[in-house]
Amino acid sequence: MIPFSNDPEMLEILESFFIETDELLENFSQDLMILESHPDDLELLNKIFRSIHTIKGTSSFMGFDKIQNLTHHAEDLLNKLRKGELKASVPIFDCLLEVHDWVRLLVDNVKNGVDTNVDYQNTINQIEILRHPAATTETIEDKSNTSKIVDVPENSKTTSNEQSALESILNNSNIGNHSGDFTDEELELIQAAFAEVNKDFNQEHKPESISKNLSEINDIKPVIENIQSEAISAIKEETKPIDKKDHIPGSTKAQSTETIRVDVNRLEVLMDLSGELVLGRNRLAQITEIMDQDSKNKDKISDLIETTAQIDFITSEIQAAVMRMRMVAIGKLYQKVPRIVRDLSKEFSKKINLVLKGEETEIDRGIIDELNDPLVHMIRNSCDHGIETPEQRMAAGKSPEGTITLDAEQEGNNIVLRIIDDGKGLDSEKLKAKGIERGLITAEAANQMSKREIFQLIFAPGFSMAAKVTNVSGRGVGMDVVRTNIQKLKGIIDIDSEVGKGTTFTIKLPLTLAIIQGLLVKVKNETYAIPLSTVVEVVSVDLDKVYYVNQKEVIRIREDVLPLLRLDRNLGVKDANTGLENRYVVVVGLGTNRLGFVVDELLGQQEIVIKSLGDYLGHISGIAGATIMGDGRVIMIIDASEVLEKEYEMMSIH
Amino acid sequence: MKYLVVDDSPTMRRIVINALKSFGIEDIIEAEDGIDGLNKMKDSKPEFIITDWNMPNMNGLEFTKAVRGNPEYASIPILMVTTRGLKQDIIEALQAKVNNYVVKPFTPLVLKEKIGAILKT
Repeated sequence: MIPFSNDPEMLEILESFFIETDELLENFSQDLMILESHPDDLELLNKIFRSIHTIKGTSSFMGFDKIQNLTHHAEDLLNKLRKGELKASVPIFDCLLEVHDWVRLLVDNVKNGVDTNVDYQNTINQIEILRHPAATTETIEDKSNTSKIVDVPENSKTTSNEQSALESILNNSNIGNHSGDFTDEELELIQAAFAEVNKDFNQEHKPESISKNLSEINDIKPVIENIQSEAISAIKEETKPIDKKDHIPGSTKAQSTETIRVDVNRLEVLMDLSGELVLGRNRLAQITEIMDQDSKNKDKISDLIETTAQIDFITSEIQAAVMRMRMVAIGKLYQKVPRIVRDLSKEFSKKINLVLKGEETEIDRGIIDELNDPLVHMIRNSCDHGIETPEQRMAAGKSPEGTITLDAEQEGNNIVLRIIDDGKGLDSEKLKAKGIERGLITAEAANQMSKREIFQLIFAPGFSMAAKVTNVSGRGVGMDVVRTNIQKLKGIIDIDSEVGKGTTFTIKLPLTLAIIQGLLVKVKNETYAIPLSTVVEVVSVDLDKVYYVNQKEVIRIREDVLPLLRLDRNLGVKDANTGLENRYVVVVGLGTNRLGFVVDELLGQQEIVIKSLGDYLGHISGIAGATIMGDGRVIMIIDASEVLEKEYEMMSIH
Repeated sequence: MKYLVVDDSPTMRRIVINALKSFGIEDIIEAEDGIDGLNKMKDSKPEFIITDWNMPNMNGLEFTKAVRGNPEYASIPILMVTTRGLKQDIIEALQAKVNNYVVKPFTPLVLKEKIGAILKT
């Protein structure tokens, strides 16, 4: 933001420019890819043109010369497409998408206040080559354009003796036909022409002068009408499809007027405050209850109870409303995917169809942002390793075109996102062998693992599925990062795959991050919350079923053997009970891994607002955050996934 | 005096409106395309229109023609603001009876001069 850092008005405009340009760029690339498969959609082409045209216009005001230059060239190219002087082709789309990438980069540079050297000259050269497929036809068309204009005044000889400014312009075919700005002379002429029109215009519309100038107007009128009809027919000829489309009543218009843009940070503040409100409400409810039990003044108390109930209701409504405000259609997340699939199909010489489903499914905005990188990585993975080459597919008796499907839906309090490919599937034997080779599992362990557990191996750090490391996947950022990111969002990721048929990745995420359902448990005298999303079941300890394996406590539940973790010891609670009598096991699960937390008492479940521990405490291993109870106590929320992962890591070492 | 600013780009509207405000013009209404412009005019009639050319649904040229074609609005001055600076474009604008024409990017001063020139005649 170097150029305008001091002017608040300019900053506001700049902010507006960023928001608008981000949106336009997204539309631009999306629409381009739709146009690629529907090259005859002129309405869409016009929309694409307008997107880039608007960016050109606004960036020219902001003084972003590079953006203006790039968009100007792209606009020229698009104009040729609009006029049918060029046929849409893959190189043109490539080039326009490159323009998109450059502009994106340039805008981001401005946003971040960096001024890296952006060399887009190749793209511009490419545009120039594309624009002039054959120099000869170009000149012919230029001439025809000029002659069209020169023709106009021929039929419109005015009755006035002197040549009007308007006429001079019409007669002077050189105006505007040279490159660069108008000359001073030309500008003067244009201004004079406008003055003339204004004069006519005013005479025409000022009632008092009508009678006075009637004869004059009658002289001028046929001239103007003549010119007008001439010009209009010329315009119509040139912009026929555009005109037609533009007259079709807009269908998307009505929606846009009903929304306003709000800074995410402000929403964040509102979210925090509504969280605080929930805490206050909980506290109020508790105090009311205590007073109800103690007080003799029942009349007053019933008023208080009523008011508390009302506040309770309103708080819940406010909270729900704030949550809804943060909800964004998951389609926003899909936006980048078509481009990625398009580029990768080209790179790998594969044919890949992309099917997007459930775009309207809503999810918390914070989750969308965090989900972007994992999704991009998984899509790349599916394109690279999942879908086979057309030859391989045909040899396997499949259609040469592979399909990747993205499907989102809401299931209760969760969002389920599936990435489905109909590619070659995961070969569990190969994965096993690789897992052993990489020292991730022992041969014995491998034999006991279920298919599902073996698939989970691809999420292990240092596990790369690719036989050879390609440019796209296998750059060290692997599927382990994907899983870590999903877990950070309190989500789980699961794989289902069949050799020859394809692979399905299922990501399950909570609808929102800020408020969770927690299971409140007592460990000795302390209360803790365990996120309910990780809880699989709760059982009471049956001493007959407790065994020791490698000096670790395990418990048998039905057919499964479950490692136990004494939460009291783990959390360093004083005077921890030694026995297991009359205690409970909270079974938590992550993927296929299960772990049993031993607790003393179950207090029930409650909606809890997650508060971070703040900078001074930072991240404490095993603790996801804290929440404030109705009675004002602060309790810790156990990060079940982290604890579970740590335990499994330790077990695999021993 | 009420101004109507018609542009599909919120940023461009801001730029124009900021310029207008710097001239002391406060009574400004906005519209995002020609159709929206005509709708807004039903509610409150502007005395001066500044319109973009290239817009979805109804472009500035069509909007101008629609305004000129309605006897109630026909005398409202229209200033066209656009990046299209070719001779043909100017002629088209002239034919549609735009009162004047500013090519983007412009400085507030140029905008002021053009408005002034229209109001003087």
